[in-house]
Amino acid sequence: MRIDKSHQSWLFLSIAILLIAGGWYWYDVTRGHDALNGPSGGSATGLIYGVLGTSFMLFAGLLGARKKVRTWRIGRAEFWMRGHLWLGTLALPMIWLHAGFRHGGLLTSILTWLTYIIVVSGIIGALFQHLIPNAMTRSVPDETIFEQIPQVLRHLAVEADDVAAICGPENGQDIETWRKARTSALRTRSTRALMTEERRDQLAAALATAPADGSAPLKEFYLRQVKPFVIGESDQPPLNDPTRASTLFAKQKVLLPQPLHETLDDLERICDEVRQLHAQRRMHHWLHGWLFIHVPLSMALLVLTIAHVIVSLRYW
Amino acid sequence: MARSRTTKTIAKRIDLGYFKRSHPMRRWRRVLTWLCGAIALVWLSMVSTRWTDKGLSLNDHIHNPGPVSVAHAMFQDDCAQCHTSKPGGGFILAVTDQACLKCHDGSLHEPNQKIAPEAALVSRTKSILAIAEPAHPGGARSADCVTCHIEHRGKEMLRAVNDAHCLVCHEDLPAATQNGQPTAANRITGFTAANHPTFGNHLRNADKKWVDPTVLRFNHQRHLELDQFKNKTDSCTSCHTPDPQDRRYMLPISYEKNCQSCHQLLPTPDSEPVVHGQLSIVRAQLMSPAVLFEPKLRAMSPQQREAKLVKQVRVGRRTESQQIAPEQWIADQVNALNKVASEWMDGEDAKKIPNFELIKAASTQPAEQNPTGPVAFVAYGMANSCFKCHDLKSNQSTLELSTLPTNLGNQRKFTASLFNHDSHRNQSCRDCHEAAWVSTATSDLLLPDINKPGAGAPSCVDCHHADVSPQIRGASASCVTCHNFHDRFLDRAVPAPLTKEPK
Amino acid sequence: MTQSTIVRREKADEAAGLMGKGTPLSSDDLLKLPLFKGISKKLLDDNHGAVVLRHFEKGEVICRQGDYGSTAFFVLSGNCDVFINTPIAGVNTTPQSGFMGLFKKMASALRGGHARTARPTPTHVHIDAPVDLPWGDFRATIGDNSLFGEMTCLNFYPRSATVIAREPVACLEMLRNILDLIYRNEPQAKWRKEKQKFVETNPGKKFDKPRPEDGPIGKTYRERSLRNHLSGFPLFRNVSADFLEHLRASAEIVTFEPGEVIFRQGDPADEFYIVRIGFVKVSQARAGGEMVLQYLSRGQYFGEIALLARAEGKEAKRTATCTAIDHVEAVVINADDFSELISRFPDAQQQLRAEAERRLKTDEDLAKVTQSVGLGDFLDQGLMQAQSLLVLDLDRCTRCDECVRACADSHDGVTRLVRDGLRFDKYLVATSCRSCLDPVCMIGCPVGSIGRSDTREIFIEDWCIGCDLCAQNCPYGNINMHPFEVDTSSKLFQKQSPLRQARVRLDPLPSSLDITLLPEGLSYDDNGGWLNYIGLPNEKNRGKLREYCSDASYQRAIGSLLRQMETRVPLPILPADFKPEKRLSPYIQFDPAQKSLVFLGVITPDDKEEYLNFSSDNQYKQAVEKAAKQSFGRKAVVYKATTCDLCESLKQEPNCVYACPHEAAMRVEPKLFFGAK
Repeated sequence: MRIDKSHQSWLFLSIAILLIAGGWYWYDVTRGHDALNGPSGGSATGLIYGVLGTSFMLFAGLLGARKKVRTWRIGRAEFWMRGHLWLGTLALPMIWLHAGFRHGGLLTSILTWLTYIIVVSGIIGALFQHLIPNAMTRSVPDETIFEQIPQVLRHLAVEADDVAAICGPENGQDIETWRKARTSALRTRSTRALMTEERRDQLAAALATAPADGSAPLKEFYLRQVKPFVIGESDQPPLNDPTRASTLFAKQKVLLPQPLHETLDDLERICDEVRQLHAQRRMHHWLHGWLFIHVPLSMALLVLTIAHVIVSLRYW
Repeated sequence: MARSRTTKTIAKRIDLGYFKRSHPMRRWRRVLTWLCGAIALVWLSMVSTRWTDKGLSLNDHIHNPGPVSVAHAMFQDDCAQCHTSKPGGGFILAVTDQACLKCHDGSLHEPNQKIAPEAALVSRTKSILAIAEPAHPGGARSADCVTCHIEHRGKEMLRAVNDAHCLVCHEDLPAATQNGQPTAANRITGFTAANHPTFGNHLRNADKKWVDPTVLRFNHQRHLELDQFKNKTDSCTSCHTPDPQDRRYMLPISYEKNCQSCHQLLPTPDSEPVVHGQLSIVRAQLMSPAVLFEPKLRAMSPQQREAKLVKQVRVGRRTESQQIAPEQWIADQVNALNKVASEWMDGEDAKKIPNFELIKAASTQPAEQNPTGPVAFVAYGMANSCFKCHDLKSNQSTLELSTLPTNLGNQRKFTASLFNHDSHRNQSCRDCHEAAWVSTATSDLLLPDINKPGAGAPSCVDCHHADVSPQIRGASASCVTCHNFHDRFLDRAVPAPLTKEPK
Repeated sequence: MTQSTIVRREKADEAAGLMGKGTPLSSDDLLKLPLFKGISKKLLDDNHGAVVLRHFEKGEVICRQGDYGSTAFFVLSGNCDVFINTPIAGVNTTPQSGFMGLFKKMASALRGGHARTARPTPTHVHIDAPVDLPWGDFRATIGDNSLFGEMTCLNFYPRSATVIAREPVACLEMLRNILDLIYRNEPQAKWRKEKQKFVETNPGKKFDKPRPEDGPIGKTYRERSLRNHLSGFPLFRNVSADFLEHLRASAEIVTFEPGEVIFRQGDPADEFYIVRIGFVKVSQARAGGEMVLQYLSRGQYFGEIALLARAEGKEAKRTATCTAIDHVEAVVINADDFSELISRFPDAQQQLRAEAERRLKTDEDLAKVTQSVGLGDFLDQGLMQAQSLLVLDLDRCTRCDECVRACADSHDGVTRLVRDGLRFDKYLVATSCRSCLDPVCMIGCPVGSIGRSDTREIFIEDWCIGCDLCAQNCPYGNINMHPFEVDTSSKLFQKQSPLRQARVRLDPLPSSLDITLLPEGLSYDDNGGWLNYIGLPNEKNRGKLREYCSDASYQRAIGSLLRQMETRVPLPILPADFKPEKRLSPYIQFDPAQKSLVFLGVITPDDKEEYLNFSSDNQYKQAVEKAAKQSFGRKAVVYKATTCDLCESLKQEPNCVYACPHEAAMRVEPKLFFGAK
């Protein structure tokens, strides 16, 4: 979530909570009830901080539960997210005040360290969420749904094959059988709206006259470089590098007659899209990878916090 | 027609049910999440239970909110030793005095403090921190241990009691005492010159000047300027050595250990040294001069002895050497000494010795009162040995020397504190005892003060001040840094429940 | 002709095999039937084979909803059941008792309710038959002399309902040319043209020439059609029988060819129309060009605004142009009858006035949003057309997919938005309904389950039969066919096997397999390498699946997939009256090698009843019972079209926007939103 001006009220609220809590803590340990023996989680003040910190954490944790019941009208998800960000961060100072800046025994030390890791990973995640979507928007204009990248890549491979069919069949195939098979494939595909009707017709027309004059270099280029890259057999230079790829395509253009330039452009765009999808996949891993630390440890924290509450009450 | 992306062609590539089957990234996150929760649960159940003969039982280790002090390490995991069990399981957080009294007796702080007849009347606000308990020496003990002693905060917290606890009474001590005036200052609020009484009030004379009760004559400055001490690292420790038992205080100075090697008790250069001891013994030695000279003669080699037992006798105009008997030689020596002593007694030097009149009176006593003999010689001998350090006690009719108290260890200068030299061993002696380098009189008290006004003088607050921080170096200045609360002399004999039969 | 019509025709051709199964009738035989009385023998001879006689056993399916076809049926004898098999998806949660019930109620309250209260539930669903199906039951009976399937025959629309013989039924199945012969009435057509001309040239005057007589066929046909049609029409609910009788005599059934203008904006008005067959486009000429207001389908009426004005003594001018989109048949009521209707029956008047007001208001609202701005991409992407877009601010969006999941959560597990599409500036225009100004998706729905609400959202009603036409028509791919899991024991599955869903691992994907060409119903999921299949496991489909790829791993996978779709029950001793060689049903087979019965797909209660009748042998019956038991609870699905209705039923902001944790998703009115940028 982007932190912008609309977070002002949360910011002020957080600062206010922090100031009030911190001020009271200062009063308590210097001249208040805990001045004699120092702060303690078990004192009245300490307990209040503990309850506050735990409820902040629980609220933050409830975001996960909130996301399970998306249609419930229990406040906009965005509101919960804001709460998650601000109160979740605020939980750490609250726990500090609760524990009097000590880590305590084994269980409480583990709890505190888990909180550190979770809060820090959350802050890193929030940072990522500020930077990566931006970068993705800029560098991956042909972005698709992350889970569907393999599927889309397969479609692109098929499309590249259809486009390159203008060069004729691969060596040794009977041209008539090939033409028939390809045309029927094109027709089947078109009903699934993978390409516009016009384009389907155009590609079918190209098939009828394939191989086009002077298409031999294109065929060579397609089979040697483009195809392995598009079907994912090779993620090697030059095609994985935008600058080198565009140079390469520009060079190829010189070798080809004018009518084939459009085909080459299509292939270039397909390669570009494939490259973008690879980039998207990488960025997506970063954008969501931090959750692998944040979420599982939150679960552990939740379990241990409950244990902490129970044993503390057992000893009350 | 070139390749074109339309909303429809883009949308139709997508498998509409993709989100129903979780992607490995989501799946693994979920698996990991539950796994983490499960690990936490398993870990919890492992550390909070244990197998005993009776089966599975709860282990309280998990609740331990922090390490207990080393002294209590033995029952670190045995909560019930201190905490009272609750009927429904679990324990009560607050620890009762009874738990502490199993091992500790909680002896009274001060006999004159207010004492409550029953536990309910113990109150911090009324400054009643003790409770009547006939079994205890003094008939009472300190109450409510846990108000001052905090456990589970690591090694030191149990003892490191906050000053505020002390100030409850010491801010206004009369209010907290009964049976007469308090022995300590009425108001003590911190370790500064203004808030804390100065050290060793019992060492001050009527002019409020520090005076050492010691009546020996010793000039620190003089000694420290001697070659063997000047600017030497062991200049102090060659005399003042720490007690090897606890290294807390210095061992007492004794003539035999510390003085004798330089200051032998020689009445004359030719005599044997007199043995250091009671005045009567010294006098006895001086009155039988043979004892002083005969061993000397005996210790000589035959050649030396022969050379010594020659007497120059004037025969006419020439002088000739005559062999004499040893008895004769001793008698000659004694006579010569007597003569010197008589002259000295009448001379000016003798008059400088304090209370010389007493000595003179004793020396010139008639023979029947003083049958042992050569009185002038005794006085002279004492002047050359005893009086270098000792004075005669002037206020006594009998002849007696002022001497150093023999039980120095019980007369510490800081009667109320726990000062430990060893704890300060990384300081040099001079850091605190600078005064020794300019002190000429034994009556000078060579101690640092809490905060001595005037430049250059070392003081406690140089190190022990309240605002200790990484930037401002120093040592703690809390009450318990120097003081014990419980009066150990009022300890009761505690049965030792910890000593069990070995398994 | 539009592209989708070609597709429909292609599909219809595929399905045309049915015609071969009947007995072609000679012109002599035909002429004996009252329906064909008066048609020249020569014409019938010319079209020999275009009409066949077919006999159906009790329980046999005459036509199936959603199938493509090109024929109409005329029942000679016997009664037929007409119904649509469409389990309602997204209906209200039924209240439960006990603790769970309380919880669900609370949950329901929190969710803001699932009640679809936004639109009144219709009383009837209009289908391609002389009857309308009552709401909730969705079944009716048609008897002798009923003509059904005209829409399919004329416009190649999918069948709107399933028709099953209730008793042995004899009927004629005919192609479009025969239907045309029945309709044709040259003198009447001529008279109509004359009348129109007269009205145009002499506004306000009455055309006196009487209408020529109906032909003998036309008469019976028209009367029957009108009787059925008018009485089932909500407008005439409280109209007295004598007036209805009068209307039947005076009203005409008029046909319009595709593209024919029925009337123009500004024309003088003297007729009121009710659509009987086909679709009518209502449009207005505006500064920016033609502006589509509405598509009207079977059962809807038009022309009332001008006539109501006329009744109040104002000038009766058409407020919009109405054009036939395809072959349209309309019931035409003349102005006098209309005046009488509204004066005599206040209930009808009230209905008409309310509708007229609603339409005028909608038109006005539409006019407001057509103040166009924008250029370039905006026009290219068709954003001009849109009234409401779901856009995602990509600088904020973390691609967490919450919007999609929220959508699925609020719509029975299927998403109505795809988080992919074209971009405009830094906004992703997600693939979800744009509530176009010209909702071409609405053209052709055989059961009229797609519509546009007052607030202009497109909605698809629960009685959608899953024919896929609207999805094809949508230019933006925003209508999708979704499989909905359904209760196999539902009575609504009468005589129709629901689709089965199964999946199997195919890992690795054979290199020879082109996933864009997978047989219908089969899809490949890269995530884990699953082959998903939704379809009927009958012989034809099994063959298609098997033949598709020869790779061994694919064959193994398909083998396992098909096994999942079967229910096998051993039947060691074959009953004497059971003839395995006779194909009992496409969904039950006997495997002689294993001596077991194989049931394909899901056995519905109706199927079970049917299977039990095949033999009286006890062992056989037990086997069927066992198979049915095993088959229950297996996943069965039906397809339905879905499109985003902006969560209109919730009367709150759409769930996708509500559930976005990052403030990235928003619903915007494109011209205002992008116009302001």
